[in-house]
Amino acid sequence: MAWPAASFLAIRVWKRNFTVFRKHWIGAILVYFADPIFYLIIFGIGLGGYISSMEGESYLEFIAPGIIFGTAMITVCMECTYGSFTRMEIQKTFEAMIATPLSIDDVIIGEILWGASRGLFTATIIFSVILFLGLFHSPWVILIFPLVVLEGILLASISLVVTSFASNYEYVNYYYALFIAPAFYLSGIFFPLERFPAWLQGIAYVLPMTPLVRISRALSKGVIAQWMLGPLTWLILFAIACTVLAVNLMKRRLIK
Amino acid sequence: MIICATNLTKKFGSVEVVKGINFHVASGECFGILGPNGAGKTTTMRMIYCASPLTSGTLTVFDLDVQRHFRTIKARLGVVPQDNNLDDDLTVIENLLMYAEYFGIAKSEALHRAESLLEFVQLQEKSRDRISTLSGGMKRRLILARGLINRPHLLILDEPTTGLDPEARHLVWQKLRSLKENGTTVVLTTHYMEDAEQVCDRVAIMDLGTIIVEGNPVELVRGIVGTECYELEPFPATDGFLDHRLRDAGVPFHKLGATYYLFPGSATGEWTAEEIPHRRLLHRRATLEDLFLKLTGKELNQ
Ligand SMILES: Nc1ncnc2c1ncn2[C@@H]1O[C@H](COP(=O)(O)OP(=O)(O)OP(=O)(O)O)[C@@H](O)[C@H]1O
Ligand SMILES: [Mg+2]
Repeated sequence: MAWPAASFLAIRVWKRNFTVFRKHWIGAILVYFADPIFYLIIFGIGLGGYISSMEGESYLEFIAPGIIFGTAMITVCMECTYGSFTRMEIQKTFEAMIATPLSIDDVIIGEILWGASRGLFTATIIFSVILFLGLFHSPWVILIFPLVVLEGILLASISLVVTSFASNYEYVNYYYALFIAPAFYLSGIFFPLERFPAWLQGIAYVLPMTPLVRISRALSKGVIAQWMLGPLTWLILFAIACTVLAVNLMKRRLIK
Repeated sequence: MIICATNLTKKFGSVEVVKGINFHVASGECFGILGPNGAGKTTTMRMIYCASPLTSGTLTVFDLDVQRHFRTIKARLGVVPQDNNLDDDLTVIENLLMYAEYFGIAKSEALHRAESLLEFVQLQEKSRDRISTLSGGMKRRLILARGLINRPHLLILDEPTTGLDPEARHLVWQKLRSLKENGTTVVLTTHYMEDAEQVCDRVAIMDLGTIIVEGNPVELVRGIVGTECYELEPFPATDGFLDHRLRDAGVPFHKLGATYYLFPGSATGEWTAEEIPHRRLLHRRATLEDLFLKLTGKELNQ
């Protein structure tokens, strides 16, 4: 296990992906608009009609911050599984890149940064919608953005770890069933985790989404508290570990 | 020396596919690595362009160690890989511009170079097209253009002309000659022996991971198979007799299918090709291909 030896050249990998993305960014906006708006309408307005208040807020206000992180998660995970796998295995883009001054480390770090950027892009769209609907009441919600970046780096590297073992697109289904879906639905986006039995809460708390949802919900209420430090430290360490692991596993796969 | 390989060895798992080879390439030289499928040519090239780590031995490019100074080395290399790896998400010209970006070439300069390279490989009209709409030969030409975008000091070409039509092939070799005149060093592999003979100053013939011979192609041919060759297709019934007769006269030969290739240069006895009852007889200059077949042919060696 070696520390990633990436350089600033990783930005060029990011730039390549951005150039391609720019060609269909309008489509991407539509896609990522649609998804969270469904959640907000179905759960927030539909289901929310039966719930008068949730921890002192309307149900829509309750789920809003979590929707940002949940949708960003899906974006990042798709980009660093389907997207990265296509570039690596089908199009041999990584192979072409490493015949230039770029190293494999640069390529993988570039992919992680890119995955995180996609997440940030999606989050920004949903954030704007929620802001427009008047569901935020505290300026502290601006701190959601650095949190989304942290989330993006963490999930991009976890996804690349999975991709480093993939032999075809089927693996994304396993990843979805075993990680993405539990992380999404057990994160407490839609109701407080205290409803779950203890063992399920235990699982929920090690999944990366749970602390993000908790912290962002507090931020949207204008709360900044010391208890946030623990989960934040955990997320940062988790992200560093997964990044190191992703780079090493990808090197093992790609260097022959 | 631009490249210097000493005991260069590569194993995949426990299988040794490059077995301690030694070679060097001088500045401005065109060096060809020839050999049958699976000989280890691509593996050797990949080690030179720092894409594949050595198992043992040493390899320096521009007098720098490939393991430690890969960025500096790669900045001055142009690579045409055997397998196409153009970026399908980008158009023809974007492929060149993005590659220039990887090398850190300024945008305006990159555009200027990309346009002139597209002209050289005759793809100006395809500039805005998607990669998937190009024919196989066009992709190959674009990869060659891509390999030149950073004005490399050393070009590494793994079967650059495979899939090209004759005109495009000649254009590529011509361009290589002009690059060489400007001091670019070239290492290439090809299965077109005629081209290798014309373009390369030196060739190494590889088989099963080792270099069998190395030297100037014309001198190698003259030294090993001589200057002339008879291609002869005897009447089937005379087969056994013919082998006997040729050995008696000390005429080196090899067989490929029904055809005999005779190299009378070093014959010790009296004989003429015409005396042998034949369906077809062709007298021609001996070529690198004859040498190649003689050294690497599996079923035909005598
Ligand atoms: N990644 C790999 N893993 C295992 N074996 C490999 C790998 N790459 C190549 N080989 C083996 O190494 C040997 C040499 O392959 P290489 O691609 O260098 O041959 P080559 O001389 O370029 O052949 P060709 O003329 O067909 O391109 C072959 O036996 C091949 O099967
Ligand atoms: Mg090859």
